[in-house]
Formats: sequence, C-alpha cells, structure tokens
Amino acid sequence: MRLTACPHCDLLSEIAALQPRESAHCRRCGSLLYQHKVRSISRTLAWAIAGLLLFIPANVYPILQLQALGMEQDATLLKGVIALIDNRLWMVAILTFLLTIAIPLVKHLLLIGVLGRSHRPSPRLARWFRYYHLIDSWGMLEIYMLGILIALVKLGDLAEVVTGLGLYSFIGLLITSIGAHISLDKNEVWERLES
Amino acid sequence: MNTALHAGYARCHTCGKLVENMQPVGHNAAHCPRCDSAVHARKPHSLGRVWALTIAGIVLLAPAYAFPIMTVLRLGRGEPNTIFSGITELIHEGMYGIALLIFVASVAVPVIKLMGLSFLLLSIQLRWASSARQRTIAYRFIKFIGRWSMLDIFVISILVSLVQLEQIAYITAGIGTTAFGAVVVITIFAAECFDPRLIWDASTGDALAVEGA
Repeated sequence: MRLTACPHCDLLSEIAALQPRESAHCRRCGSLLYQHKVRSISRTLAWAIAGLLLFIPANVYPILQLQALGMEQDATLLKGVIALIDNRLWMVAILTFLLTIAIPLVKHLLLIGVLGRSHRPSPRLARWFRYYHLIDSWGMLEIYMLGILIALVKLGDLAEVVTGLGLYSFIGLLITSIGAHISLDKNEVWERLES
Repeated sequence: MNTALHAGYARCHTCGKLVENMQPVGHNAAHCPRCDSAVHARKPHSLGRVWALTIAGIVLLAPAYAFPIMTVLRLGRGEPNTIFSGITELIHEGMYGIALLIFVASVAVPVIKLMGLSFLLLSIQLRWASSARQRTIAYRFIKFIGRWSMLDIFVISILVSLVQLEQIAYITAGIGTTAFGAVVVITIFAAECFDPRLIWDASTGDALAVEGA
C-alpha cells in the first residue's frame, strides 16, 4: 500500500500494488492516479531512439512539394519558420520553431538521457526529467500533422502537390513520439531516480 | 473527506511525490526531495493569475479576429483574409470539412476555453457546492483541447513556405497571426496556472485552503 494525493482534488488514497496494465483512479473525482505499464522504461527508450533517428529525415527532406507551370517549391519544417520570418512575423516564427522543432528534439534527447542512465540515479538526471515535465505539453507534432493534411487538401485545386520522403519520416516521428508518450510511466522513472 | 492539505501533506506539482510536514498554506516554498521543484499545497496565487491571463486572452481575441491572418494572391489578385473571412471563403469553395476544422480550432476552442476558465473561476469565488466532479472533468477537457488552437498557424506556416510561385500564386501571412498565437500561448499558461483542487476546497467549504489561494 502506498499513500498518494489526487492531483485534481487533493483526496488522499491508499493504493495497493497494481497488476500489469491495471490503473487506479481517484474515488472522488475520477482522475487517473497510477497506471501500471509493462517494461515501461525499455519500451519508451526504444521509441525515443527510433524517434530521434527519424527526426533527421523528417527535418531534412521536403514534407510537401508544389509543382505548377514548371516551377517547384518545397516545404520543410524549418522553411515554414523561415517563411514566417520573411513575412516579418518574428514572434510567430519563434513560436512555431519552438513547438515543432526545438521542443520535440529536446524532449527526445532528455528522455533518452534520463531513461538510458536510469540505473544510475543522480541529481542531474532528476533535473533533466524535471525539464522534460516542464516542456512536455508544448511539443505539438500531432497538431502540425493535421496542419499538413489541411494544407494538402487546400492546395489540391491550386497546383499539383507531391508528398515526399520528409512526410513519411514525419509520420514515423509522430508514431514514435505517441508510442513513447503512451509507454512512459513517469512515476516509475521518478521512483528509480529516487533510489 | 481527508485531503492531503489537512493531513499535512502536499503533492509535488512536477513529480507527484507526497511531501510531508507542510505548513498548511504558506508561500515560502519547500522543495521536493525527489525532483527539487518548489512544493505548494495549492498552486500559488492561482485565482489571480488565471484571471489575469484569461482577461488578457479575451482582450487579444479582438486583434486576433480583426486583423488579416493570410493573403492569397492568384495571378496578382487577392484580398487579405481574417480568420472569419477565411472560413467563409472555404465554405464558398465547398471545403466544408476543412472549414469546420478551422472553425473548431480557431474560434470554438479558444472561446470555449476562455469562457470555461471564467466560469470555473467564478464558481470557486462564489463557493459553489454542487457538481465539483463535473467541473473537474470540464477543467481536464479545457486543458486538453487548448493546444489544438495552434492548427491554423501551422497551416499558414506551411502554405506561406510552399506557395511562392511568383505571379501565379503567392501567399503571405498577416499580423493577425501574432495576436492569435499570443491568445493560444496565454490560454495554455492560464490552464496550467489553474488549480482544480480549489473547486473542491470551495465546494466543501474549506476556508483554510481558499483563503490561501
């Protein structure tokens, strides 16, 4: 049995050890308290390393390519940011850069750094994992994915749009980051870092 | 009901550890022994901060909707579009699905979020006793949907970088995107600063906790 408080209503609960794939919810407000995930650390590490590898082609190769009257234009994540700077929208450019490139990259690096060395806890690892929590909700790859689809449909009547290797890598990156998000058991990592 | 606050515990906002021997409500922060974050029984100055950010968000909605976000030039001709005129144009072009997605992400989500946070804040300050569980679920929903407002800005960033075909077609982004981006960021911070435990403190008449917020 361990004592915990609900993050949403502050009710104290005593939770018995969970069986694999079991979860515990607050009996007053229904918030998720704990969820047992099988081999969380190694699975999350695998997803994160795969994601980091896919990060490179997803950023280097064009995601979409536009062809019309012999002219060609392609879009990468970084070119989207540069185009916003060309429109003198500095704040929006910085925001887009952070949400779609910098934060997803740093999240991958922090996750690999923490999980890869979680057998040797140190204050530095705890600090890194705290940074991970800080930026966790600011990575927005899945929203960007929907943005790509909307751009694809919108441009369909204007010109021929070709999808590139970058798009497939980006889809892969999205899948791996969702995989890492689902398999990560933050509580288990914290308990390891504490010991 | 036995809350962590009354038992002298506080849950770390970052790592979820229960920290013992907390002063009931104090702003001189203790630090979490596990992750070294500042530990508070309740998020500090939650009501004031969320009101400030919510009001800022409501004010910024005006320039976000009034100023153009995007101009599409076809063969050198085209008018700047605001968020609303862009949605109207999509409907005229028969792209109903996309029009609906953009409407939900750019209009429905930010408006529901700002109204929802105002409603939750008022319900705490008016010491509502009923439906605390439903209001907690509403908070979780508001927190979840907020980030999807970035959708239109990402679409614009892709279109602007892609459609630069000189005379044939050219897309530029407008100043409305800055205001709209600010609304999204501010409302995400507002949802982060909101402490749903205050809903329960207020509904159970826990004066100790509400005074400190």
